[in-house]
Amino acid sequence: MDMGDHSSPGALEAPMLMKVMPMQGALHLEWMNMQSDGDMVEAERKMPEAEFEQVFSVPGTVDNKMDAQATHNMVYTYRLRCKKGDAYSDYSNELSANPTDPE
Amino acid sequence: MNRVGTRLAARTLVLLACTGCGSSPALVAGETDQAPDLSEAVDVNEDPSITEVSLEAREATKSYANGRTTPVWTYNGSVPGPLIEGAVGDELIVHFKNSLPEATTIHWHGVRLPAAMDGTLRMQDPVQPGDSFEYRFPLKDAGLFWFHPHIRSDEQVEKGLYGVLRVRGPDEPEHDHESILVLDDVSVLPDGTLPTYLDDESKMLGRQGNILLVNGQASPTFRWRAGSLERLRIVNVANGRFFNLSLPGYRWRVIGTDGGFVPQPYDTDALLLSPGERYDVMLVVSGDAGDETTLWNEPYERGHDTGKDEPLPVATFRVTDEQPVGGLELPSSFPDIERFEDGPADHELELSEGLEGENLVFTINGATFPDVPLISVPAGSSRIFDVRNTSEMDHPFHLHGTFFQVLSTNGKPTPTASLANRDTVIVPQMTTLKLSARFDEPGGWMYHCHILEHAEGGMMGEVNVEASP
Repeated sequence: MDMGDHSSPGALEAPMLMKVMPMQGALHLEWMNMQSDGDMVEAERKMPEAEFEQVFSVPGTVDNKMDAQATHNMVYTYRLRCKKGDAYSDYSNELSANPTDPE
Repeated sequence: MNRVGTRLAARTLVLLACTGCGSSPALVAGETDQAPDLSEAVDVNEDPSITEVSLEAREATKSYANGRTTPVWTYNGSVPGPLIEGAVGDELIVHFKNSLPEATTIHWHGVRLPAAMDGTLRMQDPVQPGDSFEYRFPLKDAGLFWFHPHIRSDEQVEKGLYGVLRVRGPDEPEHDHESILVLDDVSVLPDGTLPTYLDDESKMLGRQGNILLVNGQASPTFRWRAGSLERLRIVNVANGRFFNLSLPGYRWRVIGTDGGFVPQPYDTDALLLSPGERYDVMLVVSGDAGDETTLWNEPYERGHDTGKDEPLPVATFRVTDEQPVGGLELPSSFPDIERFEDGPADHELELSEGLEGENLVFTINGATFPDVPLISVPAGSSRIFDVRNTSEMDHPFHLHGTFFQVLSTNGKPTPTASLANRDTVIVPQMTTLKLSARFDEPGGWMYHCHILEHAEGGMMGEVNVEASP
């Protein structure tokens, strides 16, 4: 995982992904926004043997989202980043879960 | 189903270490060192048997904490709206004007009234911006009731549209002092505004704010005289938050619920109020001048690991240096309550939740409002409901326009001494309550989960009471 350079003046702080957990047969993500004035938070998801692809974006103040498309019996991996204007933060930490695991 | 119940605490720690960061915030305590009295509606009618007031729904600003200015929606400019006072047998007249930019109504939560006055879209047209409506009805029952919109209620109540109606009866218990505690919470963003985006956790649990409020103020201080017999009338007007109240050093003497006094008052360490519920409690102030006690909201597992949340301070009670009082005793009994009709259930209502496409939905018998089948009842009849919660979280069940009694829980009968007239009751997860209600007033009466996001998300139905031929 690319942790980036957080010492650059003006660099955006990446969100901190706290939890990915089964909920209602899908996966629910919770995170903390370390950037108080971000415009958006973008989430990317990776299935086994595949590359990350964007799955949703939410306003920069939001700190949770259910991924209702993640319903198959497999491990899904997520990472987040903050966007402000045209600038992006580094990616967050990554977390994984299988939606068919017990809730 | 899981949820990170301790996330709030973790988030708090991070934010404390990270000045200026954090969007949805740690709980913020205010510095209110005074009792937060409610403003009072002005009764303009000289007839002592009529309470006649004006309410205007309008925009205003409020500072909840830390000097931030928050745009709110109010009745008469305040959050909560003004206290309306009346007595059993009075007529209440409310001249209501909507000065908001969208339509609204006023629902009189817990009040037995004509259906046309109930403020639901089933029974009245919404009051459009700039329009007025006159609510007029007799006050049949003593108790603490509250009022709020019944249109886009999750958003309008969250913005501040709620107020309290206190109706005195002829046989109120003696006490030295009485307080009303209107419990709420609000989410305030760093710029002072309220969130406009409804996130999935708020859909699931109902909006839960980052500031706890009592009578519209954060962390207020109430003052008590030593030895005083205090009466506290408490209502939870929050969208989704449950309040599980403890006051270390004290036990609550519960004397009443939504619908008046209970025959056998009882003592408890924890007082659990779901959204919409009220409790009428008493206690005798102990300690010396200057002693302080914190009112806590203790964790309660209502589903999704909410029981792992941290205890949160709600308010402070401080003993004053005034001359102590004494001599009054806690009440130990009230008149019996007539047990409502019992028997096999006439209707089964299954409360559940699930995903429909990408949306969380909350269902009754597998359907969402307005597709929940109508229940028709002749006026003057009783009906028995099995309300079965098959979801993994508690739902506060609210019935409009009449009281009900919980006759049994999972088949275990409610002892006569524990009967209470209710309009809102927690249906715990994976639990069935048998409820009995009498329907006297013709018209359409809503029933729904009082987590307002659940009601707006579909968990609502209607009883149509047909007038006698």
